[in-house]
Amino acid sequence: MMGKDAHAVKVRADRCTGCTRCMQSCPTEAIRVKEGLAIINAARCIDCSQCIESCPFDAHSIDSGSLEDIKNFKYTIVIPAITFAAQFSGGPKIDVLCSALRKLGFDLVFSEGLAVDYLKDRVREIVVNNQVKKPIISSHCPAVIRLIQTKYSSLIDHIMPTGSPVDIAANMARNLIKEKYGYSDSDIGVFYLSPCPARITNVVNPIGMQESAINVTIPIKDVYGDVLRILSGMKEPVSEFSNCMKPENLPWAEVGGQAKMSGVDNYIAVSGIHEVAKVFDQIEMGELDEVDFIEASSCTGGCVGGPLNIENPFVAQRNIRRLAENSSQGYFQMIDSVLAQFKHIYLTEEISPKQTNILDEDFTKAIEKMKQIEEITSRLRGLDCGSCGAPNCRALAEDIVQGKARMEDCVFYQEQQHLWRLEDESE
Amino acid sequence: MTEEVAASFDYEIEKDDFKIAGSASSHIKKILKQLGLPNPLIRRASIIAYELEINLVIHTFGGSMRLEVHPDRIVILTEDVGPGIEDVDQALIEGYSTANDKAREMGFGAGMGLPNIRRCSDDFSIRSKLGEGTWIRSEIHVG
Repeated sequence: MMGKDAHAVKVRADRCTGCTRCMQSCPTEAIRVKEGLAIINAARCIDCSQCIESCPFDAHSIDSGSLEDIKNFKYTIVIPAITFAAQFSGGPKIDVLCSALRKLGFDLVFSEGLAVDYLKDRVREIVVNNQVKKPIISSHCPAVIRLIQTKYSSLIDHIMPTGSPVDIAANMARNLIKEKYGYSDSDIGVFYLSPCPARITNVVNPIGMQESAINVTIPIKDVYGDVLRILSGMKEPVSEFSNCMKPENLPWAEVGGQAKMSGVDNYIAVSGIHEVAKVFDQIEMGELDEVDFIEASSCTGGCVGGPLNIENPFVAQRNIRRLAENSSQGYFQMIDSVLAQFKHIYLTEEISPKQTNILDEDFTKAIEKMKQIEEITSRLRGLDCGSCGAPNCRALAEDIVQGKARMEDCVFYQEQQHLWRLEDESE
Repeated sequence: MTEEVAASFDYEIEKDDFKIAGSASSHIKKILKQLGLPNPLIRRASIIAYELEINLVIHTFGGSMRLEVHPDRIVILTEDVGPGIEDVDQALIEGYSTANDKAREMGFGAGMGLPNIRRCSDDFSIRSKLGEGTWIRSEIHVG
């Protein structure tokens, strides 16, 4: 498994052609192409998945767990991301879906949606009582939080202090089973079916919490086939524990769902990491001081747009609406007494800035380097062609000044040198 | 006297170009972040740059903006080609605005620009001549 500072996304050398598409799409300029292979700078990576989305060769693998890990625990809980239910256009009922998940080998299906119940009122309270600097930015998306850490550190004070539903749900489920059946923490395996790599990284390398209550993350796409096969042979739910997804909380996963369900009116719901960055720029300029709440998702369309889902995000949104409207309530009531005392709603660790693009710790040296970068940039062609292996001419200039690249990496510069040599020889 | 290390950046700002208004100040913010300056200072400089840029778009026939980074100070300068401000003292009073309806509809022109720039600056000077143009210099001390 991954170490600290590691990320879930890995480049597959056998498939990567060095085409530069991922490098151009990366919002933090974390990727360089060296000798035909994309290399991700772990310090700059925010797990936003742009590289996966832009890759025509499917040259990424996800460092995650699998169903095999079930055997390592005495009692297993699966938390399907809210988007999981949206992957099945045929319209299986929620309780049938949960039964299918249990048949994969899990003892309990527990929903993110249950945490939403606790969360939405806190979100509203925090907004109404001005408990955080406005506009308050939702803490839901880990890629967005990492974007703030690396590029918008002045906005750290704006982050909603609550955890995200999956982490709250993981704690809830763990507490519930400990109290009800007397298992110890190490007996219990909490599995998460994830729509995105950011959540997978967040389990190993958590932000805002000491450690994650989740043990194993599995991409939704990895269990999709198994669930589909089980569903095809199943019409009715199989057990009393099955129906726990709380359909009315499903819209939390839609763009604007958090604000609407929390009853916050004055909000901006933005999705797609590049658009999120533009909104953050506006916040930093002081343009959005009058806005209460910013719901920002790294993936276009919100979590339904995560690259580890199967269904098209816009079809998935329709599926969510249908499920929310058509499913009956009646999720299991047994948990209420335990959860009534539940307190783990808030982030416990400080979110610290992670400025990875400062030119030099010494301000005067930084100015000197900035001058050199400007000078080199002015000598480059400005086409941002990416042939040098840096995302744009300015990034190449930065790399040169930082000693990570050479002027000769620029193909136009090489051509120019070549022409000069020919001229010299002919004289 | 040894030559001082300073980096400078120049931007041309066009009249009524609301679509890209803010891009120069965004660039300035990015530069200051790369230089590793503290957040509160970057925020002040960004607000100054943004207000100046918007002023050029709304109130002038266009002009230029310049960022200078010195070891002890950040300087932001603008110079436009007119029309100039009739009463500079009045323009520095909060709430006073000569913005047209088009700009107001877009949420600009609340008369907060110049007072805001002055408030965020450690050193501020303005010179204007009707029919010629306006020259503004804003300085923030570093360290």
